[in-house]
Amino acid sequence: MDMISKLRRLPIPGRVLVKRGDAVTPDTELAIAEVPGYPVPINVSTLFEIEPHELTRVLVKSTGEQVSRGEVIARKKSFFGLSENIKSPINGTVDEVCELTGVVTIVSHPIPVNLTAFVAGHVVKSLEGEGAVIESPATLIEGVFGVGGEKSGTLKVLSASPEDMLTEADITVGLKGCIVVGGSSVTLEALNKAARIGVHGIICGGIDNKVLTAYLGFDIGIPITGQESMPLTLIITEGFGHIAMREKTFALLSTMNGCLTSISGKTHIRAQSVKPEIIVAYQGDEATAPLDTEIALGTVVRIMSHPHFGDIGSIVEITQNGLQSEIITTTLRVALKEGTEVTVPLANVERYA
Amino acid sequence: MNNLLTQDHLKSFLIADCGTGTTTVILVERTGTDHRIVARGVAPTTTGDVTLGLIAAVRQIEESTGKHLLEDDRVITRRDYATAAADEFICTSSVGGGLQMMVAGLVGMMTAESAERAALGAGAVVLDVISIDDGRLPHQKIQRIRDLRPDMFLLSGGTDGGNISGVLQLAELIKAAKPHNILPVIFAGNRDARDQVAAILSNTAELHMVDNLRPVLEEEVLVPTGVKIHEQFMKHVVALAPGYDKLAQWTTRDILPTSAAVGDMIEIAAREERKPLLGVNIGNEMTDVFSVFEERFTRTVSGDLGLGSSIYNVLREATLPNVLRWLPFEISLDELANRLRNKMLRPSLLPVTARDLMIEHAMAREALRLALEEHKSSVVGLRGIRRPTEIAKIFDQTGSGDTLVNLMKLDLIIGSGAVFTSAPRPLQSMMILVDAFQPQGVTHIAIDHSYVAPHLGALANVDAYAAVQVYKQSGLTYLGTVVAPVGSGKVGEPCLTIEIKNSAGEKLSKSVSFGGLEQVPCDEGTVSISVKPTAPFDLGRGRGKAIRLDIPSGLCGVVVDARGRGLSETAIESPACRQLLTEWYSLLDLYPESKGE
Repeated sequence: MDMISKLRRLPIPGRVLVKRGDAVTPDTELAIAEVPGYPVPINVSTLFEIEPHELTRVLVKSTGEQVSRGEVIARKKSFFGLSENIKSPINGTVDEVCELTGVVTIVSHPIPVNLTAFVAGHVVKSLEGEGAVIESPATLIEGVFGVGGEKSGTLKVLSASPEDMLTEADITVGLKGCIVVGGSSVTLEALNKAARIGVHGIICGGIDNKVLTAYLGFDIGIPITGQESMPLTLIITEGFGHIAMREKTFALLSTMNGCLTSISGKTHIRAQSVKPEIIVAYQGDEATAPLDTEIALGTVVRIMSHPHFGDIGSIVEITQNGLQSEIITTTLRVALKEGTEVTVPLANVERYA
Repeated sequence: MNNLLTQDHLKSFLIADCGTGTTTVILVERTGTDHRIVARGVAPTTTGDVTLGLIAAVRQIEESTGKHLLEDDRVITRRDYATAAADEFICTSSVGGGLQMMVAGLVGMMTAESAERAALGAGAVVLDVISIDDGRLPHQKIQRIRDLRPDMFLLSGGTDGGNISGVLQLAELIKAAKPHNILPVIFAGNRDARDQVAAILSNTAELHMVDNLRPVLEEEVLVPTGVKIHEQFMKHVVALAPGYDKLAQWTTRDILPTSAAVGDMIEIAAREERKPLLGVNIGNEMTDVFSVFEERFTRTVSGDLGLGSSIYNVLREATLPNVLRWLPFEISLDELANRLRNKMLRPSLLPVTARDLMIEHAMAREALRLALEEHKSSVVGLRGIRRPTEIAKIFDQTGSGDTLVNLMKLDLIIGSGAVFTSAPRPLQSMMILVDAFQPQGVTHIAIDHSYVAPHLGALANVDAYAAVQVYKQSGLTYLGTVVAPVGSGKVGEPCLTIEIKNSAGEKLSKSVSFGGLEQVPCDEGTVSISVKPTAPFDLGRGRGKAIRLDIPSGLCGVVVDARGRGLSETAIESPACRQLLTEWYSLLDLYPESKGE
């Protein structure tokens, strides 16, 4: 169990609603702000072919008045009792009427921005006009890739083992509002059903790229995520394809079954990387220390490249060798669980236990 | 860059490049009048605190040389320690993925384009270019600024004495975006607009004024803008990245963006080689392309085309058929996509099998091809100026805005990046560049095998003479020369005859048919080649005209590429074309035999 500290900030200056010492839940509103509307200039004098100084004669709305999209803001009478109309293209407020240029500017309504706590805990610092720092006694697990924004709910481990795939049959109505945990992967049908039911998030070891693309409806090129408008947040902990969740991670999540959990699918895979987060309000004694990364004879490792992607074994030899690709590098001779031995580059393994 | 400034009192330089994945350090020392690389250290870049990876790399040099380079877990120089081995410690960096900027100008193809060149030349990644005529509504531009949250903004527009209202509109957009942090904005436009721009932006941005980068349409003045960009880069980007506050105290010079330093090295190469050249640096996240044509140096950055965290995006932009045309085996989109996604998550994965290697090299070909396409559209004559219309010149018009990249006049291609330094066979590196860029006529191919391009570029800013010396000794590894006739004919028909004479006077003669691909090994040193194309084919002197040249043989000799030009338009998916590719690779013995997976 760690003490997680979260800095929560509005994207623009606003009003902070909490103070130091306040207890918060993930949905507690910490601060609010308004994103200013954008201006839309309408050249009425050009459209009506009148002089700018004649503008006020044709306007039916004045400065400060609110308008709806499609509402008439200017009208010019023409022949036979007919008239021409100019309508507002947006919902907003008439901000400026300029008789020098003949332009009417409408500004869209401000967009409210609400900042929630995201985690359960206490406010340890209030930042005037910006937000707050929340501390939460919780367990943090990082994924390797995610999509979707911040969500929270009860953690439900559905798979019996880290190798199991999450299927449509596993998703039931009772999981609405929950964060569910699978094993190796998830099917497209399961994702779609979970979204329909109102599941808040899915965590599993891996996912097929084609399933991800089909679910999102678009192909993510550069991995900067978290802004997707999705009903549920998806986090994978190991990689793409079918790959069992790490046993230690699965065991830890199983221990925390039923706990309040906050997740964020935000991922930035570039120099200052941001990884998706799973924050569970759990105060047990299970080790959450980072895995020791030292590699030596006997170390149990997982292979993260083809042709033995996801296989687990122990190191029986460390050498400097050429691979089949003829690249010369530090290589490991790994004895896999089923008894075969394979040669892989040191760069292509991760310590598993 | 200094004009061959010699710093006689400086004898040793410790030079580091902190890349997005790897930190590479070299030690350059002067003995007499010669400057040489004496040692090198490499370590993974530690993004949590960049100095940790740097120290690991410097320690390797300490251990191999016994020289005093570290003290109390910091890099030292003679500036602070009399016993330190290095006079100067210079550093380049791709911190945070580089300096990310937005630029704006009045007209997309004039001042906005010049602004983009200024930003790219300073080593920035240009996130977006905004102009009055870019087709977007004001609120869309404002939202774009908010979404992209650039490190810095470059505003230009209006020749001096010209349009003011347009550039004020652009300033209003920046003000309306109301970025949360005070945004550094550099104004490099119409000097008559300065006061009004200041009035609009003074409360929103940290505003800096520099000389107009397009004072008249016929002239670009980019240096003052580049200097200011770098100054603000140091202050606002480098200073905030983890560990860089410490690093900035250790270095004896300002930290340079890696891309800018590589560009400086390419300029050295261009000055030394005196030829039209293309240089490319393909990295984890992005690909830089540099060119020197008609004495004009241009740099572009393809920020989303790399072989590590951006590799999946290369597949997405190139599309599957263009990748498959380089693979002599079948692979499904799903399998390829999952592999590339995992490489995206773990960029340090190495290719294990021959197929893995071919996939990586296929992605490199496509990343480079796409980056060159983007580059070509940037390397254009200045737009908006009038050209002479004499009759003679009408038939030789390179019209305003036409690309200056001429693949027939191109003389030298330089490749830099891990894909080249780690390629097991030199011919693999050569063919990646040939297939990606498809040079025409006679072109030399070289690589920065030691990965010293950013280091030499940084050194050039301190001691240009030293940089040139090291460049000549260790800068480039010549791979060979490609002879690629332009023209078409029936596959199998005679295309050209090549004769190679070595320094001992021994001759080797070969005839190559259209559709063929042949490697002709050469003895070390300089060789003379004589190439006679048949009537339909042109090597740069006209159809059927022979050429005679003395060339450095390089590691791979001469490659005659008679496959025709226009490979880019051929999407190969059929078993027949896969067989053809297998034959080409086999002819060149390009890859080890693929053992089944």
